[in-house]
Amino acid sequence: MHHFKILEYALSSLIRRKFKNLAIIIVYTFTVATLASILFLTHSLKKEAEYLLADAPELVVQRLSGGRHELIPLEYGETIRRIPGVAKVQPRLWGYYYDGLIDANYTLQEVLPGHSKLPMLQGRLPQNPGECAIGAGVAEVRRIGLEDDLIMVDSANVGRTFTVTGVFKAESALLTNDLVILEKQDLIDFFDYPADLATDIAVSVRNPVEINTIAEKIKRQLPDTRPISRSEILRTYAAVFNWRSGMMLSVFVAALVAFCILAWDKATGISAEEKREIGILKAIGWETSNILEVKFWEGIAVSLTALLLGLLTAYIHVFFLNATLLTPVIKGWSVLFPTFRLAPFIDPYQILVIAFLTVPPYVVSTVIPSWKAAITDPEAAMRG
Amino acid sequence: MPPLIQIEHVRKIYNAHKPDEFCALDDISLQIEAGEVAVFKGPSGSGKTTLLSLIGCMSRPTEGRIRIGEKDVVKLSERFLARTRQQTFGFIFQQFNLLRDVSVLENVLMPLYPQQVPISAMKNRGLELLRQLDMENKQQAKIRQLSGGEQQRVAIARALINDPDIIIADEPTAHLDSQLSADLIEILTAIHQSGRTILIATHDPQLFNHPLISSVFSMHSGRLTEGC
Amino acid sequence: MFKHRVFIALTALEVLVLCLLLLFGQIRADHLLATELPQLRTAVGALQLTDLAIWTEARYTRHPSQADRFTPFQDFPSALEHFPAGSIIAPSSFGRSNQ
Repeated sequence: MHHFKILEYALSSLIRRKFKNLAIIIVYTFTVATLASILFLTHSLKKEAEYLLADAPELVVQRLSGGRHELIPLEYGETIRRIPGVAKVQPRLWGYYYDGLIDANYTLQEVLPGHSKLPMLQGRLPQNPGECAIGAGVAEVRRIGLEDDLIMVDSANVGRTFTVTGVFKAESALLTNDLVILEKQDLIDFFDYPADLATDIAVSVRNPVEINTIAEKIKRQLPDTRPISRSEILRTYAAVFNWRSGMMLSVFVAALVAFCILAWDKATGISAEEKREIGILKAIGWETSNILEVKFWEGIAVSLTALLLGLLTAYIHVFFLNATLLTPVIKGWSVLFPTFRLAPFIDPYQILVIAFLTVPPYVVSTVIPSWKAAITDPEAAMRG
Repeated sequence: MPPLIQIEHVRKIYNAHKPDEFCALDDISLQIEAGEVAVFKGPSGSGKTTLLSLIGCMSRPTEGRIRIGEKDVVKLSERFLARTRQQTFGFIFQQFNLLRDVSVLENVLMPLYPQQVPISAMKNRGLELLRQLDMENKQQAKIRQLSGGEQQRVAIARALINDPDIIIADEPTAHLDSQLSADLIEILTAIHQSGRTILIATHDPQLFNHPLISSVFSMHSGRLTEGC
Repeated sequence: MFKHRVFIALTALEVLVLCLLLLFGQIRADHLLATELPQLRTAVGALQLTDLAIWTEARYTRHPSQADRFTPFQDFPSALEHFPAGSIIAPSSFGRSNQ
């Protein structure tokens, strides 16, 4: 029962210095919220990428020349097709288009046969020359919709008009935000691609276990190529959203510095007023353990409050407000940037790590400086 | 019945074996019976406060023995020393040592927080003491809003909250005028009549000549010169 | 003298809200895994997509899985990485593919 009373005393003590402690809680909550927001965002993106890109091409074969990505001859596809274990070879045509009107980059891609409608597409994919399907981001910046015209300037500096037959829904922005899907010949004419070249070649394999073996065979038979497997695609995203990547590290370091400043301020000693208070408490019969318990509860009250409020804020920020505050930080120079409508995948381990980093160090840095005063003889209090 | 307080050949040396070594008490021996009101008089630096702090289990002597009742307090661990301090003694400090930004009631209740006393019982006890000392209507006032005499009463209430056997008062009239000093002596008389032992360090003649006082100990330079 | 009750109640409320949010999140995630995400995955397969469309500044930030370690520096020798997103994304660390 006396633990509740000591907690009562600790809370009274915190309230006596309410402005200072409120400021600490606010700053600490903000630090935890920022860190937690980044962790929630990157983990969610990682899980979504892992799930969504599980249907990416099993192998993508690029051609390199002088260390640069070059167009790949279609006959390479024939060579690859003859490798045992290869199920299907699909040359892919795609490229980038810079829209000078709004300083945005689009990804232009050919429509592959066999699909005209998709669940995430309003309307249909282009089936005829002069048609296109666009991502929600493109529709938004160009302010066009179904059956409107999209005008782009081709490689011969001629304006070309495409009728919008489909607009990808906003929910698919993470994948389709900047896409412009064109019919194959339109794409070839637009970029003036030679007829016997493709951007790269997608390869399907009969037995997924043999992907690496087939990739090695491709590399051996076509030394100027670079096969990229699906697992490497997925690993890219695991690395992009890893805590050691630039995004995580810069925020993490900033949060760590903020915390170190806080801890240093506390650990460099308690004020004369606090020392006097401890002396008085000891003089009137408080034990050392009671005094340390007060400091323990003070530390817990501040850090636990900051932890819980920080986690709540981060969760609401990322999964209800689509991480709007982080967007300006991480979008860089991207004009087209998707809204993060993420599935709330949470890693409980990350929450434990945040809790471990938030609460014990703060409690320790509150208790330890009081230790010396707490174990000193209370006689000094008699002397005033 | 043995004396309540027995002090045998007590010495207290500060900063032993250092250049600023200082002997605050030298070979003090005395006894105080239960129910006595003992005054320790002497000039500043004579060791009165040091002696009271040793009796009150605030620190340990460098040499010698101190018995409170049947307990040899010198040998007690820190934990039991704190408990003895809590249960046996009530302190009225020279500077009052109240927390200035805390209310009167909370200051009075402070010794009870670490004990197994329910909050409601704590409050009732505190309010009763404040009522007896005419401070009930100021229970929510902050200490810094009170006069010296009022702060003195709050300090007395805090000293009595644990119902201790021994009250230790260090220069209780130092910050009071003669009227307030007279009021204080009345309060100490009432405390004494409730059966408690009172130890007072003072150089106020009003106190050591008062009929309330049963023994007087004179101190000078850390030694007893009278009343051993 | 009941600040401790208020504190305990508030803390318990925060924990409860957090647990409810996490539970709600789990339910929502499961729902999305059953409904919306499979549709997105269909689009990935149909369009043969290899990357998320997040950073559209440069080709190696738009398609990081298709770029290699040197792509950001291809403009000229000793070019420094100058796209902000390039410093956010860790470079791919493939073994065989980079050779």
